[in-house]
Amino acid sequence: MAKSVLVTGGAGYIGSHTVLQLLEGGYSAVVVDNYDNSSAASLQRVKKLAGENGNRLSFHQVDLRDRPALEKIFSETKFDAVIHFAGLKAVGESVEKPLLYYNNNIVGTVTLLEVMAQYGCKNLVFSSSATVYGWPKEVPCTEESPISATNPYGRTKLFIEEICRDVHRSDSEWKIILLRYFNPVGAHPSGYIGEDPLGVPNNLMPYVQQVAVGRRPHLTVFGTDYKTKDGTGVRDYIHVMDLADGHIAALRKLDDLKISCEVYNLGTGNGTSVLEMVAAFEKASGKKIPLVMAGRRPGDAEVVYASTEKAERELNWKAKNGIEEMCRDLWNWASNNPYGYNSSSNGSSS
Amino acid sequence: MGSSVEQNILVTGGAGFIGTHTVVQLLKDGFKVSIIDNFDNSVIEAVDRVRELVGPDLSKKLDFNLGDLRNKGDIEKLFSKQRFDAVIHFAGLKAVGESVENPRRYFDNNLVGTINLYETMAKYNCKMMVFSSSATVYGQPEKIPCMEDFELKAMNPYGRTKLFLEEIARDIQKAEPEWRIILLRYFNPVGAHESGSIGEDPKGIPNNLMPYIQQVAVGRLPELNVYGHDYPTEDGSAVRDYIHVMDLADGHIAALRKLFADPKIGCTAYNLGTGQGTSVLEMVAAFEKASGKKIPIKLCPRRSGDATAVYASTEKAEKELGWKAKYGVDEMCRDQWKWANNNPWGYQNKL
Repeated sequence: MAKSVLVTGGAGYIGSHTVLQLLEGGYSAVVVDNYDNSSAASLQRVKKLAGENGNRLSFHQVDLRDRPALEKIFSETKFDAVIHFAGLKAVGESVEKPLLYYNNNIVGTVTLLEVMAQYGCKNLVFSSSATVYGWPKEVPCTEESPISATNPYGRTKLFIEEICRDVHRSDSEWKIILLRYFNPVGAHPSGYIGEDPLGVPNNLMPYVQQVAVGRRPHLTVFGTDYKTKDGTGVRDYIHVMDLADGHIAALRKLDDLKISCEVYNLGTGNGTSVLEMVAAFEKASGKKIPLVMAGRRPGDAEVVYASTEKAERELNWKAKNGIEEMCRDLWNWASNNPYGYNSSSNGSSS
Repeated sequence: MGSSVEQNILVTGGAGFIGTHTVVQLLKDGFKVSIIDNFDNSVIEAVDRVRELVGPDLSKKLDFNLGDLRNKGDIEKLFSKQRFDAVIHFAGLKAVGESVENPRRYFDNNLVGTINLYETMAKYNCKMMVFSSSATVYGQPEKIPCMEDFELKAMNPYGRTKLFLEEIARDIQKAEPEWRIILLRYFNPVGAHESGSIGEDPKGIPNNLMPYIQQVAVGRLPELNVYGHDYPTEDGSAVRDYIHVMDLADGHIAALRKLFADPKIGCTAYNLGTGQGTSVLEMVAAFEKASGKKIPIKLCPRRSGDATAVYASTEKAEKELGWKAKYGVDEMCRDQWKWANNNPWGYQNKL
């Protein structure tokens, strides 16, 4: 029988791509999502993309903080594992509305852990983030590098990592993998699913993409005097399909009897500057991205990229795609869906 | 004493040890008080004793509500029927050992409960908070006395809940500067109200020194385990800053007054301690003297995670809150014994 995985936040960007890979990898997936920053449209498309495999997908509009609703989901299916994506993720918004973040991310996760324990499901893959490396003193970031948080969003990730370690320490039946994502970009090669943030995008590539399709006039580059090759910040961009596969690798790793509560970086190990990324996107799309140079944003690190050694060695996983593929697939998604899943233009103001 | 307009204070965990003593002082100072408590580690008898202690008139200003902060509806019910000027938030679990064994219970009670409370306060525009933090956030301090600007760390899940909640409070206040939040870092609260009618009454085996000693003194437990007798201290046992619960209660009143008086308070931490370090063996001796009872002790190895010596710098609280502990270990032991002797089984009527 197919293994059954509960995917929280499965309608979101990384969630939807991972759900697709789960279905194609022979798993059954049950998605719970409150559609706070997503919609069922992504999952309908996942179902189509998955063809017959799509029969093993079901989804429910459930907020993790609604314990009875979550209990109902667990009472209906025995899950082999949970992949926990659900959470808010905009740094700036977290500074303005920290309670919103603590409520969604911390209360949501604590409730999920309670219900998992209640139903005897103690296998978890959690979406952490490279944000826990703060402003790294050394790159590449290894899983042993010191961790810290510079904003409420980062603190929610840091706190949840600590909570997971405590939970595992108290009960060794738990197997938990904390995945620290670097900068997920790109889209499924079909161009049928991709990232579709509500409101003004907070991350580079969704912003670039909206400039390319004419929804925004220009891209603001924050910081041009960093000590990097071209003065702009350097990040480790990773294709969302590679990231999705990283989750499947982590799920398989949970079968390893020796796994306890382990952290893995999911990145490519390559640093790319903002200007390099823009150039790659211009090449892939044939579109010119007008730039406005601006000062550094407080809290932004200069250079962050992953050491990929541990994930390669222990998860047997390695990113396959480079920035050309990331930009190609991002553009394929963007040009086919200039307004994301909202096919009709809701952006008349653009 | 009381201000011209009666101020209304919500006290979470108000049926507990520090809560009951603070409620007595609040009522005596003219505040109106609503308690919310889930009786997880407390009993209704404690609230009844508070009522007896303050008398029928002041008792009319006390309103008790059975409720759990994890249930938003329970909090909502309180805020929807009255306006609170401030909240004193005691409610939370506090046993280090239990937190290691069952961390989820701690994250659920302490984190979820507090986040729900803040959300409801924000919704009803009540943005003044006194929060029960703990000296546990100093971890194993490299220097003593502990100053409020020391680096913070947590040694166990209980400590992490306090540390996380301090960080959360700072973030909330930074985002919305109209919040006024005081974080009170308690050192080691002991003693009881001088009447001997309210005091500490933990369920199960006590986790802290004095309730344990007290149960040995009344014959409920055979002997006291002293963990660690080879610390680099005067007598080899660990040193802590014990503070009389009535001093602690007054510290909360001082913090409340600071909140009302100082719009620029922001989110500020204060130590509540005496500034004096006392060893376990000294404390045992003081209790033996106060009670006239011999406390049999058993010397045991150190417990991992226990610090050698922890005591407070009290400067900031003295300067900014105008508050200073009045009692020493003799009064602490005297009042602890009075409570124990009058109530060998705590609030229960056993035996």
